[in-house]
Amino acid sequence: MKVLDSVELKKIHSLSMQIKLPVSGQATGNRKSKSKGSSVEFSDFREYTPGDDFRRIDWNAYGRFNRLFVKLYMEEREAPVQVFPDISLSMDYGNPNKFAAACRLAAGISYISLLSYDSVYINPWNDKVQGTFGPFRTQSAYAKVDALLAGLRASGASNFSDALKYMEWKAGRGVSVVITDGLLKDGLEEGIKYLKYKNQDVFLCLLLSPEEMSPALNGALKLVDSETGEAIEVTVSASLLKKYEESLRQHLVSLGEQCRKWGVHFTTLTSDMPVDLMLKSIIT
Amino acid sequence: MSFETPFGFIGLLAIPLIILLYILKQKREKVTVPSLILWSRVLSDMQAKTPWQKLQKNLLLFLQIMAAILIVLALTGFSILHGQNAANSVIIVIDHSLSMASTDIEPTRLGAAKKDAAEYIDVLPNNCRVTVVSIGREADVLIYASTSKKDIKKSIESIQQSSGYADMVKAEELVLSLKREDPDAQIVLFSDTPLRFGNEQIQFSEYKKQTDNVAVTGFTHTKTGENITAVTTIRNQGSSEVEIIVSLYGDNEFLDSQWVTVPASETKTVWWDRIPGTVKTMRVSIETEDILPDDNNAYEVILSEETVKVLLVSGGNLFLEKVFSLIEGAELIRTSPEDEIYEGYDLYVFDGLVPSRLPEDGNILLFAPPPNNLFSVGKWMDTPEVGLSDHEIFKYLDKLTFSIGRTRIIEKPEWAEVIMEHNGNPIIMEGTVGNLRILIFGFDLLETDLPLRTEFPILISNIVNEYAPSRGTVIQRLFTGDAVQFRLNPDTLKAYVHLPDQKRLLIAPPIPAEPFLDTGEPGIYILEQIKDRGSVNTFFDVNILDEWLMEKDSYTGSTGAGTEYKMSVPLQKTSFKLTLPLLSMVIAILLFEWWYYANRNYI
Repeated sequence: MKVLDSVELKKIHSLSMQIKLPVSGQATGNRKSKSKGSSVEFSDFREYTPGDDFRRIDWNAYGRFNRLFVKLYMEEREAPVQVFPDISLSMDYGNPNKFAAACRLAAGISYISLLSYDSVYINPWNDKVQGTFGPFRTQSAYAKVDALLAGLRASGASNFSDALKYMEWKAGRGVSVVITDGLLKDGLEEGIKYLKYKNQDVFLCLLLSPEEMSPALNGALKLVDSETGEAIEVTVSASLLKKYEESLRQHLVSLGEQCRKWGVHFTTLTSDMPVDLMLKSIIT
Repeated sequence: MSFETPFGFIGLLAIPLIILLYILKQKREKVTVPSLILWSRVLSDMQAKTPWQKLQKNLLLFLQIMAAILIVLALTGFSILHGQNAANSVIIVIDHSLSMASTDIEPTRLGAAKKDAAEYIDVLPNNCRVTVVSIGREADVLIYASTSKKDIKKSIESIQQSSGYADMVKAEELVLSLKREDPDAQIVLFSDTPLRFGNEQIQFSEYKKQTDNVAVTGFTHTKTGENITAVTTIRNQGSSEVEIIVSLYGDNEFLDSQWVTVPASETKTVWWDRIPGTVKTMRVSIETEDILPDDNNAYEVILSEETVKVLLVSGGNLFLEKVFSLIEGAELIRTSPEDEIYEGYDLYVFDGLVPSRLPEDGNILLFAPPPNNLFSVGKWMDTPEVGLSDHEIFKYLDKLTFSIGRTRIIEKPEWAEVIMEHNGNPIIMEGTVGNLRILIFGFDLLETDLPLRTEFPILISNIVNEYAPSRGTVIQRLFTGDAVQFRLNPDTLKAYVHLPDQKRLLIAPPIPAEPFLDTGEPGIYILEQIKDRGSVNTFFDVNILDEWLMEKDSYTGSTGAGTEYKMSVPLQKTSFKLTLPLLSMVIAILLFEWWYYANRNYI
């Protein structure tokens, strides 16, 4: 079973990621690199020094200034895109299921990244990163990504900062897309800061189910936490639901403000959104 | 603060039950949610805003316990006492006459009156002097000018229901004399009748909800040949016509029954014919229930008229011979005075002599006794004046006058009582020697005009009825509370009275017996006299006096009669019953609980 079917793939074919920061990478991609190199896009001039590629000497400038200048071009490099889908048990909730929606979103991001010749890494996590899969570099590698995502199962409790600390990182800039419901006991702050520390352009995709946005609960209930098994007894009334929704709204607003402060792209998504709409929401 | 029905406190058992139900509270539906983070945050925010969160956690439990307590208080008839009585001295008058046994007020009128009186005591100032008077056939001071509320309440509690009427005259006399001693005292009356005490203002707590009572007010009989005919009068004291069943019982066996319709406030006579002559006791009973069951029965004893054997020992007295022969049921034997042993007669009449040895089995009547061993007899006194006497032998003889030529000068012995005297000299006297009753006429009948009077046979008949032992024990027309002096037979060794409730009381020895006072219960009583040769039983009946009639008469005799009486003011009820406010609070709590349950956020 595939995560995204061909219709969905077609819809997202034309989308591409908009990345603010240039990335460093080994393979050539279509991202602007800080490294000046062989590219068609002009960047700057500097004086020739021995060892430079003499093919890049600007002879017109030599004619005007009688000095040797070398044309510098923005080297286009591939962007390493790190996708972090949350596979904790809290994601396995809602109709449509959040976990499935997270996988679809991860697949969609991977797909458009591969289309842009970026390398993709899939890092499923709960209380630790359950493995770094990749790099996937070419469009043809998408099938592997899809298969990988289709094989994931929700398990364990989530702890983003712990998960990242024990993850092996390669040096260099990149794009990190974190897909989670944000309902973490220890929060996301530490983890996001860590990603920023690792020079990542972070996209935080907060994925919630419609049932979380507007719980359809009523009466005397025993609410059990899907991750910890803890329970509280509540008698759900209209006013309590109102307060819950207000609390959720504040939570999202607060998270959004923090993300803006950190320079993190923050998007709230619901699991009933089609994958192309989710991607558009992230990009725009 | 008082509780009308303390049994309601059983309801407090509901409180542990409520707590138990809270311990075993409902199992909630389990719902898995992704995370409790937001829920916990909502709840902790709300708790932070609630200063009484701990209480709130169990608010519903507290509300339900409070509601349970309030319901229990309502069930117990909880009431609070309020109001201040400014009086420093109070005379509490409690009517315990028969009508106060009516059940139109729970438990009875008297029960309610005693309870209210006790509550009234509670709100009096501590230094208030309280006198408690109970009024029935007698008016009694139970406690005088006491300031001990405990003792006052005890005296109120000791008042027992009586079967008699309230003697208004006695009550008025007593209360007014108490009032004279303490002019500032406030009179507070607890009764079903607005009694008057002169022109004194009283506070009146009335106990009468309805008057639907039918009473047997009269029951008597006559012998018609072999059979007995009885007549019963029944009065309807209510304000509507009633149809009742009246039954007649003979010797506790059912004899007859009749449907009787008695119009409102009227009296109906019911006849009973062909009652077997063998019946010794009768009871008539109203079988239909009313508010006062005590006056639904009346009792009647059929007297057996035994022949009285009279021995006349005389030198010749034609008047005595004739008059005794006229008396129905009396068998006269005449003998001449000889010194012999007299035996076998009920009444010995010695005319002009006193035997040296008194008979032992009958009473004695002496006329013009000569000097003897029993008492000192002197010469003659001429033409003594005859006064009137209310002694039994002069019953029905209010207008009797007669003249005496001369009478013996007699020194009154210690054992004798004077019935008639002139200048300190007894003319007629009576006494008891051993078991014998002796009636002494100091004069000779032949020296008076008494035998010529039309009342003479009545006098002798009275003497036979009073002094013939078999007649002497006949007790007629007794009412509850009456004292009775039994004339026991001279040869009685021991005597008992069997009460209607089967109890047996020893009344003799000592002989003569003390007056018998235990006639509080209406019914058939039996006087049992034990002799050497077996025992003799005499039945007598005790009935309830017609309270309605007696109180009416008594009321007429009191000073306030005939004038419009406006001095009675209703007693301010000092207790406020909280049943309605309590139930209102319960409803308010339940409404609040419902509202809270509908709007609460957690338990």
